[in-house]
Amino acid sequence: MGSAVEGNRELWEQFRRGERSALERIYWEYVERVDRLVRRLLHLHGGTRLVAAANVEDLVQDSFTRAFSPAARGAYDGIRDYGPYLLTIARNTVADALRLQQREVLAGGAEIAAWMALEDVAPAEEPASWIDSVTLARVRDYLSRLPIDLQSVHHRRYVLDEAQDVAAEALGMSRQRIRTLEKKLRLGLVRELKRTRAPNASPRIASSSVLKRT
Amino acid sequence: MSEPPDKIDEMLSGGRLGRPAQERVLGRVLAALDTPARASRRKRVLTIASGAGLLAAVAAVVLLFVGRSSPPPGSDQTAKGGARSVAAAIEPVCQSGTAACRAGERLFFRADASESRRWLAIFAERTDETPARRIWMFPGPDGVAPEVPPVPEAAVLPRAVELGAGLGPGLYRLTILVFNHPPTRDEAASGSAASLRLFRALEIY
Repeated sequence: MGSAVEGNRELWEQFRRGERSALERIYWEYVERVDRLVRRLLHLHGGTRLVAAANVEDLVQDSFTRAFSPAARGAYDGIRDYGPYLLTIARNTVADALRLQQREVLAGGAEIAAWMALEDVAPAEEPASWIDSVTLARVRDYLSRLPIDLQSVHHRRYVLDEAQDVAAEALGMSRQRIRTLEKKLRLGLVRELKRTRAPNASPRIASSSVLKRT
Repeated sequence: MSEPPDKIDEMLSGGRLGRPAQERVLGRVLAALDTPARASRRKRVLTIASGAGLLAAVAAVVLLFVGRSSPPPGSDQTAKGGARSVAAAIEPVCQSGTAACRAGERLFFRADASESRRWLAIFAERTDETPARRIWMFPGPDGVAPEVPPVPEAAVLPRAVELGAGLGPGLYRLTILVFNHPPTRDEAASGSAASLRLFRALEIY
């Protein structure tokens, strides 16, 4: 699958020993793929509605927690590619979650391999597809009206995925300032979604976990 | 802010996790690796089982609960927050001593050993609801979050939850948030200030 970490024997030795720097490197190498696979499986089994309702962050976290456990690290031989091994763990994590909701998970190893091959060429679907079009338009409108400092932080952190210290250096700000602006970004969006919520919103919007959770 | 921060972050990232959420996840994954193994937790429970009265009885229940329930995703050893080894798990314990709780009985919580004071916020969500409604256990209607005092061994907290109206038969996911200060309901709802986040399964029949 062409990963930069595959074949790096020293790294995998450190990983098996549980060294934090190796775990972090592996995490950053694969977190995007795990995120996409989780969404893909949720989408396959429940459509955009399930992706919207599920806590993808928790599922990604649980996938890595399982994969980084001493037992799972020990079970990885370091010879085969790690990607399929990790994604199988992620698939099992989602399968367990779906089983709790009495949903069957059909995608197995062959499907994951096929998905990975496709993913190397192009992402399977638009990531924002789980967000209904009205909410998506509100988010885009909110972002377009941000002052320049907030726009810059949004671009660095949420579009370019830069670490806080990298974004801080690029923007000539302290990390504390970046943190403050990130919080402002989030709060602003929450307020915007509440403010623009239509009284007769469609059932799909009303059932969005973002708008309905207390 | 009452919306979960993860969904807001996902919206800001165009529908994927995005860097802030990825960093949050990494922190929790690494913290989870620092928590003590399940086996050592069971050992400590055995130790307190030699105590007297309710504590011993409930400790036995813990053994039964831990041993018999099949842990669903994210409900086993998966600590969810910045816990160090001294700030580990909180386990729900049915009053009746069965793996599943009977409707109407009380639900206790057992806390692992801790060197510092902690406070809990706990809510339940039915697993068959999408999206699931949060049913708050703590902070209760009085706004008080139970305190977990510093203790050298695992202990059952005195405050329990009545599994009454609003918590009918079914399968629930419990979200247990651990704070280093008494949380308000808003803080608990946002969850961002929690030092530890745990998920447990709860079956009520």
